[in-house]
Amino acid sequence: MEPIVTKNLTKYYGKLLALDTLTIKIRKGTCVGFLGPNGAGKSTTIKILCGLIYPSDGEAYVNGFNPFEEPRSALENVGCMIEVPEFYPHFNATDVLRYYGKLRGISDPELGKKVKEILELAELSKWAKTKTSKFSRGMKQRLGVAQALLHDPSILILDEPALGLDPRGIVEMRNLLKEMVKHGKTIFLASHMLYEVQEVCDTVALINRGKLLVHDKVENLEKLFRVQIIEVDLLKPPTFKQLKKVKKLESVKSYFAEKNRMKINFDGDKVAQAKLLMALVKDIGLQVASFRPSAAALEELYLHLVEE
Amino acid sequence: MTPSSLKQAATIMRYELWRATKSLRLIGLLIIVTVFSVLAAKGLEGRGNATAFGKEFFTVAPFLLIIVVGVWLGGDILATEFERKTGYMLFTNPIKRVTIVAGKFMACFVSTLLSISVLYLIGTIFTLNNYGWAPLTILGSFGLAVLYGCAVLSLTFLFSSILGVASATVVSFFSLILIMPILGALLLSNAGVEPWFLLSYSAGTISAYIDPPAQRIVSTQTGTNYAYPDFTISVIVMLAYVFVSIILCIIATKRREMR
Repeated sequence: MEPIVTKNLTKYYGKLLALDTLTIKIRKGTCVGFLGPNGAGKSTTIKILCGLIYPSDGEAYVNGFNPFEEPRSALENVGCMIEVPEFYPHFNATDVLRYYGKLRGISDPELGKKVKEILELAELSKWAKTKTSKFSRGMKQRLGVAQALLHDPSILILDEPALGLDPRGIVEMRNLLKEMVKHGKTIFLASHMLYEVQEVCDTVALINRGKLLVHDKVENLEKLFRVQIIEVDLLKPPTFKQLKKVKKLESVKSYFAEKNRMKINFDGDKVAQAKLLMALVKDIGLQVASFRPSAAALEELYLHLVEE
Repeated sequence: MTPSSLKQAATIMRYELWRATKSLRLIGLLIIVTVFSVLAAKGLEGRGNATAFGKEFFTVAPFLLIIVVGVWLGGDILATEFERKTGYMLFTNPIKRVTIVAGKFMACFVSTLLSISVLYLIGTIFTLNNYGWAPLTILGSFGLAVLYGCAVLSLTFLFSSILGVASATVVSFFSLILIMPILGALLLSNAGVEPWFLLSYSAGTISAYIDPPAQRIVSTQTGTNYAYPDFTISVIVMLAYVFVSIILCIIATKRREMR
């Protein structure tokens, strides 16, 4: 049984169609990046899955249960975080976590330990006794994630978890999510941050104007749409002659060069990538310091599908 | 494992009371009740006997204070979850919305009971101090005041489940303190109809119970006068307000979306 299933999920806000017969199944233990522009229907889908808004038509199941009819069973092993979370202003971080921990049935000696651990994980230990009204956006975000992880759920439904975080916070969030994936958790992650999704998720679901455009593994999508991009750092900027040679290489579709850095869009698989790198070094004489697959691959794909 | 709904309601009640304490809302309320009660009792000193004192003290004080208490506690209790988006955290827990309403209602009821107890305690202490004794009917009046407080809370919860924070508070306060009493007075004076179905009219039993006049219905040349509301009917009306309002509140809370 898939932990998250939607069947022909449709939602109207008045006359506005926010979700158009969305059907998606999330397999157990996978991390799915839910991508789409603003107003695409990402938050609406997530809110329906968490039982916050009703669908106009269609069905949603979490853990095999309808979150509206059986919220206790549907949301039992689920950790949710939606938008930038808000907390009761007079509660401190410990109060917040203890409150939601109690509602989920974590007993007292264990709860105290878990709260301490999760505050450390969220780097909020120093602010454990500070009122949440004094928290910055990033701190609220971290407390929201801490709350979602407190009961060690098997399913995580997260809406823009890196929103409002500083660069260090984003890296930490990414590492935390990677860790969750390693532990076999099912993650449904709505995000604008394509690089985060590419780094963390196995599959990507792209949505636009309420319609699911595609749902597949990142590499399959890249192959399907022939979008492979590598970023190459060079010791010296390439000469005009060298750039001309790069353009003439068989697998290269396009390139972008700026100072010591190049982004090369090429056609093919890992073997093609190896050949390309060899050609850059041996045949063209570029001094390659490092290279990596580019997040732009997903970006290209995203723009390609959304524009269509 | 998710605890039973009853345990979850008890957790919500405990944390709502904790929240009211931390925000100084409960303490502020108790201070208002105490100051108002002491001032009212001081102002009524010199009444002929304990019954007259009690009857006057328990006329204005409960009517006004219970409304203030109910609106103060319940006006924003549900609306805030939707408007200030704290519901994104609360409603995504494995909990039924009816449990959330029950827990919050119990917390407000405990605070209301505490406030009414302070009011009656001060009234009784002043009666005993001034006259050496206090009528036992104060206990019955206390029971009616608690029931009225419960009905006020239910109605406030209903408004809070369908309106925003500010509008729920304003609508609750003015409907209880202004609209219902004015409507009752108009019905009584212009149409000669006893407004037994209005909550504000039923609240008249709180003071009347201390020393009810010999005759409830008095016929005069201008029509029929009602000295006080019928006790049985008033209790039924107040209970009806409690149950109907809270049922509607649960339905509205279940249907309300967190957009």
